[in-house]
Amino acid sequence: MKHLLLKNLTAALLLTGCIGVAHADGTKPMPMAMPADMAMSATAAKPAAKPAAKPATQASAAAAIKSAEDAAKQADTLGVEWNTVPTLLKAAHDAETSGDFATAQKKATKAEVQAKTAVAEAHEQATMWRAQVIH
Amino acid sequence: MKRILLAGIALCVAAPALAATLSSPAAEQKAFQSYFFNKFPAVAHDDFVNGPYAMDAGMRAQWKDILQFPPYQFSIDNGKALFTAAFPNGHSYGDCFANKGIGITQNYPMFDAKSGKIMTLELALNKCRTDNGLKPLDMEKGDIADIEAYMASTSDGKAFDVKIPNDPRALADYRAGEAYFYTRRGQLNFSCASCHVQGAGDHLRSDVLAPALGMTASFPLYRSTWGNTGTLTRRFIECNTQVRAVPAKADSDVYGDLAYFLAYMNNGLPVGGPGERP
Repeated sequence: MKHLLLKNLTAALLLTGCIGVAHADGTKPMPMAMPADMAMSATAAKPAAKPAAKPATQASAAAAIKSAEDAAKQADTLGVEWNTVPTLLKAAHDAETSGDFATAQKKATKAEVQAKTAVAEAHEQATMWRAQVIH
Repeated sequence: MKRILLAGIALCVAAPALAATLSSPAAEQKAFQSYFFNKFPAVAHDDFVNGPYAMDAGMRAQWKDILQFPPYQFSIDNGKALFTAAFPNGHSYGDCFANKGIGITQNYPMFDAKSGKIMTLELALNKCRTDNGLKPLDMEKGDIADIEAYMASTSDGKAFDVKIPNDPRALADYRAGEAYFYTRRGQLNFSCASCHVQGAGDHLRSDVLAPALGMTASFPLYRSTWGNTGTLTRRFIECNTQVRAVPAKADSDVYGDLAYFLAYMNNGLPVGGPGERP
């Protein structure tokens, strides 16, 4: 019995490992629907609201835009920039010009996150693409 | 038991490493073609150049009707006039190409030993212009697409014969094109292969995704969605935009390398251009 249990456990471990490998090409597993009971408990376990962020100022908006532009430049240099980033940066600049620093900062932060994600994906794909080649 | 466990772990670790080893271009071409021939056993090999029309009977019937009056015919006629017209210095496009530019589309893109770069037909046409003191043309549509349409019409049915010469730079260009083809990019994180290998033959709304094999063989294309004839470069730029990536420049090396890789995969298939697509 103990032997059988050990055998099953080993098989399960191997299967898990192989499934992990199958996703190593960067493909994201299909999202699974969350059962209703889990969804409810997730709602119940909702963390307390975050403390209010500091209001955006001209300086903080400008810093966010500068940081986003640096990240976007890096993505562009690698040839992997998303086409959503220039649009977000333009919106950030427009909001800054019109004195809406909160929107400017929000758009810039979003642009920076997207630019950094593009760079991270590019580093990931630098070797992973080979696993896709038809042999 | 321990041995089985170790063997299993070794298999899991070794499998992706083995898959990541690249073969020779010739072996890859054979595997690439076999993949599509096996995936679509009902499609005649030469029919892969017709893309979605080889996959969907309804679309094929509409296409046959469209070809009663091919929408790219105006491009061929205009392209012929442009191709044969003399430049101000008395030369013409034909002087820049082997066999005066007639029946040579199946050999492009080709490796240019002088520059070490890939020369697509579009780049070669623009080089011809600049060598003769003229400005390069827009590489996406207009005159260049028309000239290409005429040149492709003179190669109709000839088998693709793209060469990778024994030069490490040529192999590097091929590998760069291959890497571009299989690399995911853009906000959607799609590679060219995501749609044209894994998704080949599937529907995206009413469109059928063309298989990568033969995909570039019918360019330039008259696309109904464009309302005119466009080049392969135009389609590359459009694909990049569709996956929400910033496209490369039209005359960039990456697009030349990508075209080179795909054309090499097409070797043996007939030139189908100019073509027509929805």
